[in-house]
Amino acid sequence: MFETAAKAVVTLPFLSMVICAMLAFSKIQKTQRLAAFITAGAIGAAFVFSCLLLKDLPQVEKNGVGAVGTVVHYFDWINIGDFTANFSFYIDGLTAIMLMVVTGVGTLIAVYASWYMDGDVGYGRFFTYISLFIFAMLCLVMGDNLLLLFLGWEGVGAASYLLIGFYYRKPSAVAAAKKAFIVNRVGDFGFALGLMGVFVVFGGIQYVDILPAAKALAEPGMVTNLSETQAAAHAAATDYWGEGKTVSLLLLSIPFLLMLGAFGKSAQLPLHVWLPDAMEGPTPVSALIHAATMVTAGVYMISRLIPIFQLNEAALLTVAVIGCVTALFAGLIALCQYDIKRVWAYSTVSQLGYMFLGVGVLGTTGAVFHLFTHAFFKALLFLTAGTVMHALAGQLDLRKMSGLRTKMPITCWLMFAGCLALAGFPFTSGWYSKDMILVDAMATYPLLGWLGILTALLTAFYTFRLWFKVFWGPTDYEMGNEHHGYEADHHDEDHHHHEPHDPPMWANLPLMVLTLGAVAGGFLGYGFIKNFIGMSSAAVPIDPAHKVAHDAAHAWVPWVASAGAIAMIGLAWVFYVRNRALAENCAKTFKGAVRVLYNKFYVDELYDVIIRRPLRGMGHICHLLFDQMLIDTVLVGGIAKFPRLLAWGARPFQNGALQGYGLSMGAGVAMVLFVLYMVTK
Amino acid sequence: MDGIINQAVLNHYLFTGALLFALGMIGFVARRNLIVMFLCTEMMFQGVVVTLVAFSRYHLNLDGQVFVIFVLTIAAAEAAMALGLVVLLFRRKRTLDAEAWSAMKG
Repeated sequence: MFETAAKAVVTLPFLSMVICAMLAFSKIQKTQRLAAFITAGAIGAAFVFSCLLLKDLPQVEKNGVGAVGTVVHYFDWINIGDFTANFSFYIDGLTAIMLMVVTGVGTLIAVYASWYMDGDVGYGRFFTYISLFIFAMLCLVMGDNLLLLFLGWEGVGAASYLLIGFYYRKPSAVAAAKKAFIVNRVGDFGFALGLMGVFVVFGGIQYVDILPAAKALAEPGMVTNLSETQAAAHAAATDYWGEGKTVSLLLLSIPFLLMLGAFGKSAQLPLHVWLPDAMEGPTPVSALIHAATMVTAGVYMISRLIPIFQLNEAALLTVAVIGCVTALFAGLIALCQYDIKRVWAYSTVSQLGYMFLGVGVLGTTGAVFHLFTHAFFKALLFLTAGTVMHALAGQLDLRKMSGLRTKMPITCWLMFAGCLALAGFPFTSGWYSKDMILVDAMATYPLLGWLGILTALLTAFYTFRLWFKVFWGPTDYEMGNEHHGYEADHHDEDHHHHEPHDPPMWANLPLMVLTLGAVAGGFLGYGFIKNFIGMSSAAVPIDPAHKVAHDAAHAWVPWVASAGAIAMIGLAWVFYVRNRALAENCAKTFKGAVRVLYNKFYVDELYDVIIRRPLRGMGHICHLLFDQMLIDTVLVGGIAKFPRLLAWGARPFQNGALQGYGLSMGAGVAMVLFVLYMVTK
Repeated sequence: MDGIINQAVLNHYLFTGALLFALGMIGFVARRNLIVMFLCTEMMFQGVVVTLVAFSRYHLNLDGQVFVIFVLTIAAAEAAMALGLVVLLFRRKRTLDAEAWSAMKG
């Protein structure tokens, strides 16, 4: 039963993808509607099977070394000599949590999307991509080896590319899709090298072998009764880092390489530029892929491989610092953006920064917990933003909407719940998970902890800035001019003449479930997540000294953070409900800072100058030197010129004069005869 | 087959053949009129034919004469076709001058 359930979880979205692709290819608008039912049904069924896995998990968990997951073999994939990478699944607490997030949130968003995408010509195509995404994401979180993880990793990257560029007639969407793909290549390059490094050091890439082996290296003596293959991996790695031996540079660089992949996928600081642009895709995609699931793959990967990261203190510190700085950086940018989806996008980057801070200080429980709650409230925020956008015919500019509370009351209060969770209002889900990370950070590196609290204050402010601006104040709005990402066709467009309105009840239902998760996910999930992470390879034993610092921080950090958050919500209320002129005056006073933040710290421009332009210049030089000179002129042109040269020499002989030919023929014969005569004489 | 010709007689025949051939050659190169040029080539044929017959007689071997019959036959067929061509060419340009057909040059 357990094995069947695990196989079904992955197989169902795959089948759904195939069927939806056929529907999409058939181009019959009537059957396209089926695609939504099939996709939502398949992901929903996968969710049910995930629940079955979760239920059976504790029984299969208590075996083997420490906390090792159960391996479910699906089919042989690659078996070459000692190298094994099968299509099989590694199921432990961490996998179970990720499965709940991916299939649970996926189902809700698929249902919402069936309303949101209604009337789109690419309806079937959209759900094909969604199924592809879910399939790849499930391979990513369930794979029992790094190669299957990598396959899923690239699969979700491809799905993300396809969905960002879903409105392929829009140049900005195509550019954003390419940007996402190319920036991710930088990270994936590192990840692939890290994967190969793991193989070289441990002699294998299966979690069951490498994770206990790495644990045994990190904590000698703590881990006993290694199985035969695990001991072999341990012995292989000992060559690189054994007692009395110098630590190999390769082993130390592995976490840094893997980290690069995580930073690319999860949009951390040097590689964060693609995520805000990725908002060009349809809003359900922003919610599912670029907020709730795919972008958390980096956090999942580091949590999964935490024993390998533990081998290198510097790597963990780097993860924590980059995470913390990204959180602050993106939080600052979110303050001054006017595009609703971009505010949430920067907020996502910022929250992912928190998760990296969490794993960096070895607080994997907090990080995964935040991943879990963030999936709910950020999906909720994106979907409600999508509803607003849909109601206003594609309008996303905060300056052009106000007081929508009266027009769309349900959406208003749904988004409010999401905002509370994101702001870390006490007892909402965000409060529990964010404070778990902040406490861990404060106990390990107080500076990072304080920066985290500062970011939490910013978060509360920008969240409620948006909410107050959109839903409060005088009712005033300006319609956008597009529908479903296409320029509106004014002949048969009925959306323009409508008042903004809430979506139908059945489409709002998924949002209500997400609201439940956003509000109550914290205290319902707290014990559950802790228990499941404790039963997974991501569990990190806490040493007593750290426990004392942790408890000390726990006594005050949550209250300071939430008091600050409430104060910031109040400030946002003053600025954006009570006296909007005050906010404008404030922005005028700090004009320079606002401009820098509005332009996102000029990171895109910086990349343009230091990467794009030199590359372009180099390409230009290569084009001149190799393409034009070497290939066009010398090779192609030269070969073409050679016969011409020959002809130029032979041309005078063909002068068109008949007698000339006769004469030369006669002279030729005479010459031959003469030679013959001379020779035979 | 009686009466073998001797070396001196053979030389006379060969001289006649060579003369015919050379005259034909000169005529072909020197004259512009297509029909005259054609007749000159016929003359070159006859020069060769005389040589063949002479050698055939000298060696008492009939192969040469058989070959001559062939040459005459083919020359007749060729003359019919070549004259036809010349007429066609004449119709195109209303002149028999070979210079008129020197457009085909490199």
